[in-house]
Amino acid sequence: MNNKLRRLVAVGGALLVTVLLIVMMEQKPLHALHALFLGPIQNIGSFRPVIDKTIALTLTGLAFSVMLEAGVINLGSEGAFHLSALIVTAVATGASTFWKAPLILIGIGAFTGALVLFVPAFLERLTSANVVVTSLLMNYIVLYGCGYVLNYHLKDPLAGVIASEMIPVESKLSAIGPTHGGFLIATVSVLLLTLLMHHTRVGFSIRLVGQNPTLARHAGCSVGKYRILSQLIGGGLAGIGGAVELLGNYRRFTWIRFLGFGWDGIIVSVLAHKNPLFVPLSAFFLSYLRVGADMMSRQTSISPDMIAITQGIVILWIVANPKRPFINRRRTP
Amino acid sequence: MNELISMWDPAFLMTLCRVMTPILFAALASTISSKSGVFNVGIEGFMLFSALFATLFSDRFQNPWIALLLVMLFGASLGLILAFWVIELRADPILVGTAINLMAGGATMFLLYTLTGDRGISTSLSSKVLPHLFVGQKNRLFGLGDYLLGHHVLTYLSWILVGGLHFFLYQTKQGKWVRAVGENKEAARASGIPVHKVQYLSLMGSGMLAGLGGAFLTLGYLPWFSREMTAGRGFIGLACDAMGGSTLLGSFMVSFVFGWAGALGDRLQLIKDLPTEWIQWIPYGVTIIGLSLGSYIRKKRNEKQDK
Repeated sequence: MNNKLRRLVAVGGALLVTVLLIVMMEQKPLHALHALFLGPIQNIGSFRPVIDKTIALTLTGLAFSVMLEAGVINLGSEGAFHLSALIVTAVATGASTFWKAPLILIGIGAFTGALVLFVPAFLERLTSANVVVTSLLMNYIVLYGCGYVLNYHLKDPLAGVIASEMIPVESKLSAIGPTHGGFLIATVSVLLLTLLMHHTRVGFSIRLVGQNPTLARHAGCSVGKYRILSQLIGGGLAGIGGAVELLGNYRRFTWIRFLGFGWDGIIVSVLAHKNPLFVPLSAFFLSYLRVGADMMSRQTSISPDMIAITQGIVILWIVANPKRPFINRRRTP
Repeated sequence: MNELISMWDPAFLMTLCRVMTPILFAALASTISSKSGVFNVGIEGFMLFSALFATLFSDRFQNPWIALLLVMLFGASLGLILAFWVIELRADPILVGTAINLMAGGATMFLLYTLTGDRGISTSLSSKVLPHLFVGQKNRLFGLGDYLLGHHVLTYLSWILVGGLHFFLYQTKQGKWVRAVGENKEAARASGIPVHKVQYLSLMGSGMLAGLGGAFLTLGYLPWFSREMTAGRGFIGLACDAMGGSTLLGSFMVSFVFGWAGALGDRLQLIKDLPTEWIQWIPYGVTIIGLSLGSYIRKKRNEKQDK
């Protein structure tokens, strides 16, 4: 079975299970299914969150895809997303006018994100400390560190809740129809990454390192260098995601816990089979499902958490491929 | 400084053990699976599922011991699923584990609501919890009783398991098989070790230990289940295992440090207004540094051996 067919079967199977569960549990299943599948396109107001989530998920999905292509699993995107948004807030509310332009802020976000993922990547190169573990630890350091900075340095005492000062209007991403400037940024990122991964020497080397590290080394690619590069690009993309999410949808920085986009990027990227061009599609699928589940839970007694099962089935289905393993991760040669 | 020493009263050690026990179980779960060559990131999700099922079983049977037994079986079956995916379906263990973790957060809430009608926290259940042991005998043991007695039964079990697993891995034939498989699968297979069987059983054992860690949360730590109540303890367990170099004593000591930091956080909140976030992130920072140093030393030692 080829990859595209496998993915369609996985999505179809998971949706079928979801529908069956709803039919079993709900007295008015048609009503619930209507809300789940058609709720998000009822009107523009209910469709807007689908696009907003798609933008952030596309960026974190791309981030994880680049790293998977290089055979690296760095779980720090969540921290990169979070810290980037915090730093962007700090700059936007504190710095002089020049730094407040959205594009500059997004650049700062990208740099911050890359830094968060670079720490575990570099530690692995230097000391061979397991990158999965150190990146998980990084997430918590970032979370509590950000909590501290928000509580003691950025908090606006007049806000009433724990929140930063208002992000100035000139820093916000301007609205484009039902969405905001982040849409353009995500689109450009998808195109650039496709170009990079499939039409340049660097992208080819990254993929070669992921598919066959031994061959890559014989061909003269520095395996470690390209792995780190993939994590820098991934971190940058996750950082852009955090900055765009904040500047597009929030008035103040209020995140005291993770929003989960970093983790969801893993689902998106697995569903897109690491291909940047498919990432927006699978991001759209996921966010449509989420918004639909929210609408369904408002009209029925089914909790929106049910979607976690659908997602879980999709990933477990896709990564299980005995003939052609989904990724080929070997120990650093 | 005086405060740091005088802080070590029995109540402090009690808190320390409460924080440490689930982390230690997670670390042991991680040790056994990584010894058999599979990195089990799913422990976090295993624990969350087990915590929910422990409280459900305990409510259903009104007997925490039966609940504990069933949760161990339940954890083992989660381990079996992971093993099946990794061995038969050749999926990457980290992606499978992550999928389980991502599923656990929502699926536990969904199950809780579907089975009991509670949202977010299991208020309608009346689960029984497991006891603390030797509470009435604290004046024994030459004055140390205050410190060493009166802990939760699962805390004692976790201590016993540290020794038991050490014995198993280093003194028995089967334990040697587990380590052989983890070190070099091909060589182990060539010398006649049933590699897949060893990995299946190790992952089921890992799931069982994670199940115990989850069970402690709802049968000991708190008498109810709430959203995301593992709060990263499974991940910390992975870190303890990695930093301890996958040795049992190492896992024990690092989870002790986390327990100490947790208890210190509780205490300092009462004494002075040190930002809690600092106490929260310091153990993670220390672990990253310790983990890197440990890995670096091991790497150098291996390089020396190769020469």
